[in-house]
Amino acid sequence: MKIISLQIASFGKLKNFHCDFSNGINVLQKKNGFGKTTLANFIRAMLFGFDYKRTKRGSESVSDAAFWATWNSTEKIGGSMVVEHQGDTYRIERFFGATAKAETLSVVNTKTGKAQNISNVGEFFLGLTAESYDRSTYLPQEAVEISSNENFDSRLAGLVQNAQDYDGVQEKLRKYRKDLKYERGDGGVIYQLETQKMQLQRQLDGCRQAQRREKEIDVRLQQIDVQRQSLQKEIQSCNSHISALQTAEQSNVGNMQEREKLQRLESALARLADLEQDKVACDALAEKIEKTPEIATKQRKLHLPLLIAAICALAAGVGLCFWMLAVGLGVAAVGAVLFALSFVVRPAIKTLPAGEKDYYLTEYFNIASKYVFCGEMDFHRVQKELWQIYNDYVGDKREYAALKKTVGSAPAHGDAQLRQLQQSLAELQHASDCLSREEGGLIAERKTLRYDFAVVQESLLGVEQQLQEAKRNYQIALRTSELLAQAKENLSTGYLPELCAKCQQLLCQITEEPYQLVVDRNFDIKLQTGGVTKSLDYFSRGIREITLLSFRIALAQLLYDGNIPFVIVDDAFVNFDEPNFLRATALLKNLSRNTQVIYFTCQNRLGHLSAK
Amino acid sequence: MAAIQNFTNFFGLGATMKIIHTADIHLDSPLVGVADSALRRTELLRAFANMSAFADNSGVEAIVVAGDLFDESCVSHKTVATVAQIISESRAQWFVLRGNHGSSAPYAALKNLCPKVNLFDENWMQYTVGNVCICGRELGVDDVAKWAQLSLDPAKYNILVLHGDVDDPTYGDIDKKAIAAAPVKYVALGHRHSFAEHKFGRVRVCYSGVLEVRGFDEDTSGFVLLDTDADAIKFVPQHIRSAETLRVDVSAVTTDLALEKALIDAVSNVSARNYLNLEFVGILQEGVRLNAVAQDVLSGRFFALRTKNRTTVPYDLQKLQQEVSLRGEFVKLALAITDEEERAAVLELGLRALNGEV
Repeated sequence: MKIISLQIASFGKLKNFHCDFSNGINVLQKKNGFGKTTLANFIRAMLFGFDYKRTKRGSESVSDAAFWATWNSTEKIGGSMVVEHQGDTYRIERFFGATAKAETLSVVNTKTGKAQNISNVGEFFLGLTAESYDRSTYLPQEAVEISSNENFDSRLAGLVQNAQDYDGVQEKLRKYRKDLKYERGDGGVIYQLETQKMQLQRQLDGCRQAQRREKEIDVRLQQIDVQRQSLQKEIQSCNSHISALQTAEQSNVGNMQEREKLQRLESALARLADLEQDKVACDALAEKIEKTPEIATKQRKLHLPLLIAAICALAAGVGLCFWMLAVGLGVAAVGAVLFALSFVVRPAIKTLPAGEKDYYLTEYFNIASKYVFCGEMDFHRVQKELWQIYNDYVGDKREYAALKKTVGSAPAHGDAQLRQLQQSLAELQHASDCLSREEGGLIAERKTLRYDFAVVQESLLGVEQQLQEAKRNYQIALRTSELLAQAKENLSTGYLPELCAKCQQLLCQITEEPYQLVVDRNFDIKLQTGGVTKSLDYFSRGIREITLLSFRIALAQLLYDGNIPFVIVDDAFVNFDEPNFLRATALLKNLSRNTQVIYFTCQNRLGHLSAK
Repeated sequence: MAAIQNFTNFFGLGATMKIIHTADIHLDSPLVGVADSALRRTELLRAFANMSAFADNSGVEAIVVAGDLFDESCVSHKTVATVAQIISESRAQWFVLRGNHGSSAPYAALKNLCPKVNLFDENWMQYTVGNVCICGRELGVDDVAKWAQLSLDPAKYNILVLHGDVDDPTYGDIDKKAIAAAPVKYVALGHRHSFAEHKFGRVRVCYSGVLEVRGFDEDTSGFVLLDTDADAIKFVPQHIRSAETLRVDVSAVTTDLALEKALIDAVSNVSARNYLNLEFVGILQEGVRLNAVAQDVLSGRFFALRTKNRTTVPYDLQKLQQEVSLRGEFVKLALAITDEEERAAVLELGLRALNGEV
């Protein structure tokens, strides 16, 4: 591509400006403030348009549109440029507005008159992006000058990589990764999310336990409900039985006094249950006591049968004497003999032992003392008291029998049943109370089992998503860093040797010195001369600047694949000393054989670019 | 061996029978990214009750749930009890397949609370309603042998109930050939969350989709109404909330303010009640803070919001990779990444980093 002419309608300080260009060297020698840099930027704007983003320009942050707006005018900025490309001529016309939308562009093939649908004009004609154009085609003063404290290596690295600070980019990516995950130790978003995830998992486990417990409680509550219903039925049944019994009892007993009296008599009679038996024994003893003498004596007694027989025989003999005297006398004699024998033949003699009466008395008192407090009382007094008690007993017994006839025999049986039922009722109510207490405890425990399974799971899922996202971002950052490192490596190994060779060729051509250029993959540049290899820092500023210019031209050759269409040199050598200036212009002159060179300068010296 | 239970509906014999086919209701499922998940869970239950009411009002005699009525193990007793109550009060007969999202415990509890519900197990089970036979089984256990055991009465209108993916046997094998060869009129499927109709031979096969949307990818919701007499189906849309998807092209947006306006204009017709799935497409210009602005403008505006950034960087990557520069080399390497999403993310981050924007 070659620039044939340009027509500026309005651009920065330039207005209605026309300029034609030829092949080879084009020198535009103008005073300072003419607008040479504006012209160079117009060419760039025609090819690549404006950057409508605000960028820092000096102390201000402005967009290209604002920066290149015509001074003291509201005219539309822009113009046209005619270029030759692959045998055809194109007219590029571009006018700019405040925004990209307001920009108009037309590219017309002047031979055919047909409009071309080209959105990126620079890339279409040059095959380069705007950034590559900037570092290859346009050479302002700062492109080739090196300040005294500037690191040449990093400058060259920046030029080749087209990145101002590779290490800075990597450092920013490392910090980005570090925010996500510390390289060492615990920290970063991923660590925080993992901690949060573990906490939520614990909560979820807690929820599961609570859920299990809740199920157990529910089952137990259901069982309790069933048990209580059963108990309620039993209690109701028991209550109805008790009520029935009480009703029946009330109708039978009549009134409570009689019932109480009956109970009293019953209990009194029950206490004296042995009295009758003891009374009989006491009576027998009393009789014995009465009959027993105070002192024990011997007793002689007739033989009673013999005596009776003797009396009978005597009576019979007396009777017979009236009829038959002899027989009568004989019988009477026998009777007399028997009578005599009745005195001779005696039965066994009973002798009471001494203290026998005391024995009976003791026995009597033993029995009587169950009912009477004997104390100092004598036998008769005790006997009297016992009689009294017995009489009372008999009276009570009669009264009890009479009352019982009135009340009937049911109460005793009903009472027992009632007591039994009441006891059962108490037991049932106790069991019911126990169930109620257990139920209350379980309900209270259930209330404490506050968990929301779904909410915890949602939180967990949310955290897992964030964690996944953070891990992914970390991996992306890591991959990006690796690719950048790989890109740097590729760039170094892929292009650096060729770049060095071209640069060395240009450098030797300009300086007419047999320099050997050595550049490693870290852009550490050394020059070998006279068999000695030294860092560029050991060489003069002039040599360094010429080396940088050689690198720029070599890079342009590399980017354009050896066919640089044009270069715009915007007073780039203004501060070069004379030998260096001559070298630089010689390089441009050499370049102009195949490349259109547009050289803007405010100086009178032109070196090898002079028409002469 | 298939267990056979008969439920003879004398009034249904020979008459038109309407059957509802639904699935994937996922009651009590955790819901991430919605404004009020508890409310949404209640709404899912309400949608279930609404379907039951529809069935009662429309003379539907049977409701088939082809799996995933409940979700995982987080279903509460209260929800199971409510479902049991809804089913108990329904006039229709219910046939519920468990599916792949949950243990059998809640279904056993449901059966306990509501004996009228008919469940399926790993063996073929057949239920008869009038002249319709509803046959189904839980997939995933000894499928090949079980398919060989499938035996249906050709005289009946046979409906097969299954839960699985027709193209992926992960959740159990759906034997298309066996279905096509069997005297089946309709296959009620569950698992996929969108309504879809397929044909296995001459057999009509349907996924009912979800009853109510739970996520951003579920754009339709409702159930299938099957008319056995006409042998026709109809998808009945039903929704309390719906999910909408919008694509916003940000290519023309050059400033944050312009993006804000573009976003507000784009979402102006979307109801705040709904789920909004917003996708940003086009070329994102440098310096436009898409995520920050979208968060600022749209946060809290909808019941649920998901944004996806599918924008591309404002570069001609094919040309950029030819550039002799770190960026060119980086782009060349990044373009070799096979995973599309990873490639886009690496390119975005790398180019931003090289521009000093990280």
